[in-house]
Amino acid sequence: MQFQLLFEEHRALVYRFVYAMTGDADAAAELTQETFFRAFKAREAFEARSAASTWLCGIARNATLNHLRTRGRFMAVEPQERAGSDRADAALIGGELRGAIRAALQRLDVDKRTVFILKVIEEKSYEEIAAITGSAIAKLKTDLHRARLQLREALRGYTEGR
Amino acid sequence: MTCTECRSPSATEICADCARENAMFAAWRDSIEVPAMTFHSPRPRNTWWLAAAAAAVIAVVIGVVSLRRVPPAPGTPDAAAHYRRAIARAAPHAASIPFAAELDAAIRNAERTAEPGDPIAVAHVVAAYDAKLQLMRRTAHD
Repeated sequence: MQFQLLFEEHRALVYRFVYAMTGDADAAAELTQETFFRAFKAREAFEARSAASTWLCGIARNATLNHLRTRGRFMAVEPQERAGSDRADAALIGGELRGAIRAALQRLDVDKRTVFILKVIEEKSYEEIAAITGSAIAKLKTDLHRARLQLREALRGYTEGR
Repeated sequence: MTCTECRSPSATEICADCARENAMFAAWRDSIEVPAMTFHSPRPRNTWWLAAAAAAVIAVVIGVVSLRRVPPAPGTPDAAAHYRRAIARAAPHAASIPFAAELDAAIRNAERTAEPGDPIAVAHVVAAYDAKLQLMRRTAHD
C-alpha cells in the first residue's frame, strides 16, 4: 500500500520527465511503468538519504538513457508526437509551439536535455539534479547555460514579441 | 550582475528573457497530459505448481499406459480352440499317428512363442494344429 501511494504521488513527475526526455508519449508510459517496477524491486535498498522524487528521477533517467541508446541504434527517425499527448485545452500554449519545444529539446544532447528538464521544467535544485545525475554542480550549470542558449536560438521565432 | 541562468547581463538574478522562457516552459509542462496508469506490483514467482502439474501429467500418462488392456491377439485362441475341438472329434477314429510327440511339441512351441496380435504367430499355431489334424484324418482313412 505504501508503494502504491508513492506511485500515485510521483507518477506524473516521472512521466513528464521521461516524456520531455524522449518526446514520445508511448515510450514515456512504458518507461514510467519500468521506472516504478525497478523502484519496487529496489525499495528495500532505498535508504531515504534523498527525497523519493530524487530517487525515482534517478531510476527514470537510467531507464530513459537505456531506451535512447537502443532507439538511437535502431531508429533514425524522430518520434512523432501522438495526437492527444498534450492536453487539447492548453490555451496558454499553442500546438505549434508545443511541438517546437518538444523537437528543440530532442536536439539537445542528453546531458544538457536532462539538466534543462530537471532545472527549468521540473524546478529541481542543483543539489537534487547532482544527486540524480551524479554530475558536479559546476558541470550542471555549464550544461544548463549552453542548453538555454541553444533552445533560445531554436525557439526564437516563437518567443520574440511575446 | 549576470543572469544566473543564461549569464547575460541582467539587473536581476534571472533576466527577463529567462523569466519569459521559464513561464513558456512551465506552460508546456502543464500542457502535458499524463495518462491514467496503474501499478501492479510483481508477484513472487511460484514454481511449485509447475512441478505439481508435471507430476500430475506424468501420473496420468503412467496410469493410462498401465491400464490399457492389451487386446487379445486376434485369431490365436480361436484357432487353437477350433483345432482342439476338431482333433478331439477325430481322435476316436484315428490310429496312433506317427510323429505325435513331435507334432504336439510343435503345437506347444507355436502357442508359447505366439505374440498377441501377430498374424504370423496365428499362422504357426494353425499350421502346427493342422498338421496334426490332417495326419490324424489320413490315418483314419488308411
